[in-house]
Amino acid sequence: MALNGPRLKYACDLDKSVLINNFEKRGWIPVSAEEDWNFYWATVQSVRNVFSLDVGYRLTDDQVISHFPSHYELTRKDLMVKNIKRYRRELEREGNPIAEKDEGGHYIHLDFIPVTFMLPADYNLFVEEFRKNPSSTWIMKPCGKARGIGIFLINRLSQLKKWSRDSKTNSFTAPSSKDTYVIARYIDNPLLIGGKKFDLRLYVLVTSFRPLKCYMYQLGFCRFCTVKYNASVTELDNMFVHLTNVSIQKHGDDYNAVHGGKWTIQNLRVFLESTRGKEVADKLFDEINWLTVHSLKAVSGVVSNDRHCFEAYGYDIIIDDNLKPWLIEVNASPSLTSTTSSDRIMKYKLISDIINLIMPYGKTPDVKWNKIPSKEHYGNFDLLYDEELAQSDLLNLPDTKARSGTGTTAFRGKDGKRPAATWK
Amino acid sequence: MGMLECGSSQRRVANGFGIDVLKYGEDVVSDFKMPIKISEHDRFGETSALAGISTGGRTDLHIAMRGMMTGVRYRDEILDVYVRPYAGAIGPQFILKDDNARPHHARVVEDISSTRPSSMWTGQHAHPISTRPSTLGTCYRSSHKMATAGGFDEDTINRLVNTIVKEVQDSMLNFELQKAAQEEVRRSNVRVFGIKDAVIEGLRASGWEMTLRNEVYKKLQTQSPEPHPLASPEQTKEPVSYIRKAQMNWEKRILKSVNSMCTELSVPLAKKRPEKEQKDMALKWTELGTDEPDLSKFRPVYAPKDFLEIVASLKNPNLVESLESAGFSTRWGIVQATLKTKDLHDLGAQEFAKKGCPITYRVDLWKHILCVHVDDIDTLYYAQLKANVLLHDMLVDNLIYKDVKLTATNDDQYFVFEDYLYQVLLPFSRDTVVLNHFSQSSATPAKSYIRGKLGVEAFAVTYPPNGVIPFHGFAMYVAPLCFIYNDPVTLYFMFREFYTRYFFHLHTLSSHPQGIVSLSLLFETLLQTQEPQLFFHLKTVGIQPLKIAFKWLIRAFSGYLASEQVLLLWDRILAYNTLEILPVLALAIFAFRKTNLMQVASSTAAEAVLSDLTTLKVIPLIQLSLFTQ
Ligand SMILES: Nc1ncnc2c1ncn2[C@@H]1O[C@H](COP(=O)(O)OP(=O)(O)O)[C@@H](O)[C@H]1O
Ligand SMILES: [Mg+2]
Repeated sequence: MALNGPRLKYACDLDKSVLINNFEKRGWIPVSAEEDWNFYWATVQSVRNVFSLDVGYRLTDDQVISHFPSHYELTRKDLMVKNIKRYRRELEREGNPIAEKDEGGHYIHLDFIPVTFMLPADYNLFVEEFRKNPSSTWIMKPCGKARGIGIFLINRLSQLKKWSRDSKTNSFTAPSSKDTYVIARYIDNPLLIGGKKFDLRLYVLVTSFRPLKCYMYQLGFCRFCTVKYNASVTELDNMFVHLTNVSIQKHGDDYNAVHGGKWTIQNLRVFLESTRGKEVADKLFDEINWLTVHSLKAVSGVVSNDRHCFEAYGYDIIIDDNLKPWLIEVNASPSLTSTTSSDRIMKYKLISDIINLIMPYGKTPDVKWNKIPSKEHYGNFDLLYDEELAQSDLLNLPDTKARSGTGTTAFRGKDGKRPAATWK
Repeated sequence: MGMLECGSSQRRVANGFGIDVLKYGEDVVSDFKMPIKISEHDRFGETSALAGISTGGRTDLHIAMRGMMTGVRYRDEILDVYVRPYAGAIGPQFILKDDNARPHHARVVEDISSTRPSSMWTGQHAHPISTRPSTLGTCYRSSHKMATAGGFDEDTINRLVNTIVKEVQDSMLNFELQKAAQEEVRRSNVRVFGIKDAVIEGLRASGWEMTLRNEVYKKLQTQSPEPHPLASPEQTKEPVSYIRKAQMNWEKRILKSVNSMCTELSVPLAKKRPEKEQKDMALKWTELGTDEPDLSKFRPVYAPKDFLEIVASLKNPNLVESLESAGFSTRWGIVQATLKTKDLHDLGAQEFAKKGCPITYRVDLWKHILCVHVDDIDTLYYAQLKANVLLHDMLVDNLIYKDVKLTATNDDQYFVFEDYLYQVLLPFSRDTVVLNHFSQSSATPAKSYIRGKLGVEAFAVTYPPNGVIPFHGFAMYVAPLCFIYNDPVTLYFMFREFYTRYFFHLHTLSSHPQGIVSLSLLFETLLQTQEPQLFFHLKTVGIQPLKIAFKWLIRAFSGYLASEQVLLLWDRILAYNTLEILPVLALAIFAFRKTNLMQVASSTAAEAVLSDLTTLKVIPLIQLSLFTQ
């Protein structure tokens, strides 16, 4: 169907076959970023330029672009944590039951990121927390880096001397994001399969932040470490044990290029449903959807919601051995490099499905459109949440109060001809 | 003189064997090194179990039976050591402990507990005080029914019942049943005359009846009817003589290949591991995949392709050539053997297409169907097998490693389970209980003799101890089970049961309806009758569909379908207790891709059309093929 659409013009910053092949298959015409494109798969830098005030560039109604200019509110490690913390406080202040806490002061429904501090800024807070449980392990991550670069694990305060000094001397000049770190409680009890640690890479498409409209891709995958997991101190600096990034693992001796250590979510589901039961597996995947929606809600107020933008995020999630999912980070530009042939097929489909959701029927994009595609255009995406639909659902219901109640019910949608407002 | 029994002269090169050595990108062994003399046998002397010593260009095997875990030793040593004291401690004391026991009460208890199942099994008449059908009587009848369904005559049934009774008597279950019966007596406050019924009722209520039934069912599954009095042992194993001969020749070729591998690589069939190596291996038990032995020189003994050639070369010598050439033969496929196969109608189409079991129940349902209930004794038994792995390094271990590395390790569905596969397959090769299945099989385990005693039965041991020499893809029989059984011990027993009930059929030549020959034939026949147009097209362009489907069949589709779909397929193998669903699915796949297949003009093109099956859904496919005719 897409093939019958108009010959759109596209610009693309990345030389990735999974992108280019999709554009060419649709018969689109390549143009440079300076020309009049309809569809621009851009890097975050280009997007920043396009939207910078100095350029004074104005996008027309038939142009869409692949990032939100202030995506970093979600995708920079420190800002994501800040926004989620703020979101929880706000809900709590409102008296929203979602922000309910247990006796220990932990959020019951919103405890989905490991305890995290900024360094050097929060050094003292961190020390306080560390001393409560001095045998725990923490993970240090530079805020502005990706692909596992600059990450290390610590289990003694002395390993943080440099940051303690910084926190004292540099209190006037804010350190650049290059020198700032987040330090997070290390999830030292990850769910292991075949004795190995893994994390999930899930793709989440956002077509609008206000109202929030987001989709979860079904074809995400698990990324396995090549080495058996071992929580012992002697292995703390063996990154093949602890970091699941493919960019790290592929340098390991045991890296297998045929499958690249990637296991489909579908396989994970079969395994969990069989070994733990369907209910347990369903609950896990529901919780993953839940945390995804709330991470997006946490930033929906601060991201500038430009109608020309859409964005496909790469969510990193770790499941612990109690089958609780933890949000580790969100990537604005998940890797589109294909490590294996099935990886290539999956990523090609991902791009294709994104385009179909952004521009159903291969039509020229129109930013005035309400961005409610019909279900047939979902491809391998599932609707996670559509705030607009959820609200009209609420209006259509006699008992609105009950619907805005607690927990997941706030997101529960209806099955109908129209897309449901949520995955539920 | 030789290691494994096989012909006389040992040729160094295993070619002419149909094995494509280059297929796996392995180097062909070019520089043949003279084997090094290993003189370990003196050191272990009597305690060694399997010790291969290579000398002067050939590898002789020295095997002492002592350390081997035989079925008998399992019973004598493991069961006795751990079970008897336990049983002794509980047995008689149990009655004494019963505070309410009056003398006559106690006597009844003794009476019942000494009522061996045998007297119950022989029928209700043997029961002095049975006034209504007893639990065991019901079991007897149901076993009778099952046996009759199997088409046995009265005599055979009686013999069968006797054997099963004997086996049940010898089993742990008998002991447990007695215990449970005593428990019932202790609990019930009934008077002497009603006590038998009460006990039976109690056993039924507490689920023991079901357990017993299952045990009988299981025994029936693995019990072959007593042979015809005039039949020779080998006729009993395989009645069709040309198939029997073919299987024997095939076994000879396999052994030859294993022997030449020993010689070429100067690796003994088995040798004791040095102490340090044993310890290292024990430490690494759950991650054996990371430090595998050097496998570069090993190659699979055979691949499905080689086996297909053998299946294809089977020919009924009684078939008159002239009839065939006169066009009377409708055999167009590869399989030339003439065996009776079923048509779709016989296969009970609706039955096959029934809905599968919900994924969550599969774990228990499969265990139930295969009667696998891992208890302490099983755990102990597994531990013993593991100990045997640690003790001796066997040539087949290399074959197992090699196979896992070539298949599961590179498979994007199964790689995460690599280490589980070693934990199943290495102990499996030491498991002498597996030998029992050969009574159902046309295959015969390879024998190995102590040096100088070739052919003297008293000095023979089977090699490997379980009698099964793995081939390329063998690990894939285990792999799908890893999705549902997380615990290596349960996984082990599930696999063993799957193998000894079903999978051995897939790589053995036999006339059995579950055998690979019949399955291949069934596939070819189904395709011809159900998809004549497609069949005609493929025949015209010279494509043999079985060449494509055979690899699916021999692996029960493991590694070809998506994991979930393999499990759905195996659900049905278990539910209907037959492998015949495999050719039905193979047919369905051909039918489903028919449009594309109708356009191909070469085998390569046909293979390309059928190369990726991971998107297929088994259930709708089977339904499609069964209902749209
Ligand atoms: N809190 C944590 N607990 C356990 N593992 C973690 C944690 N944080 C990160 N990791 C591991 O480190 C990897 C890299 O961390 P991530 O935050 O994704 O940084 P990057 O941007 O470098 O990918 C993750 O994929 C995960 O395997
Ligand atoms: Mg990451």
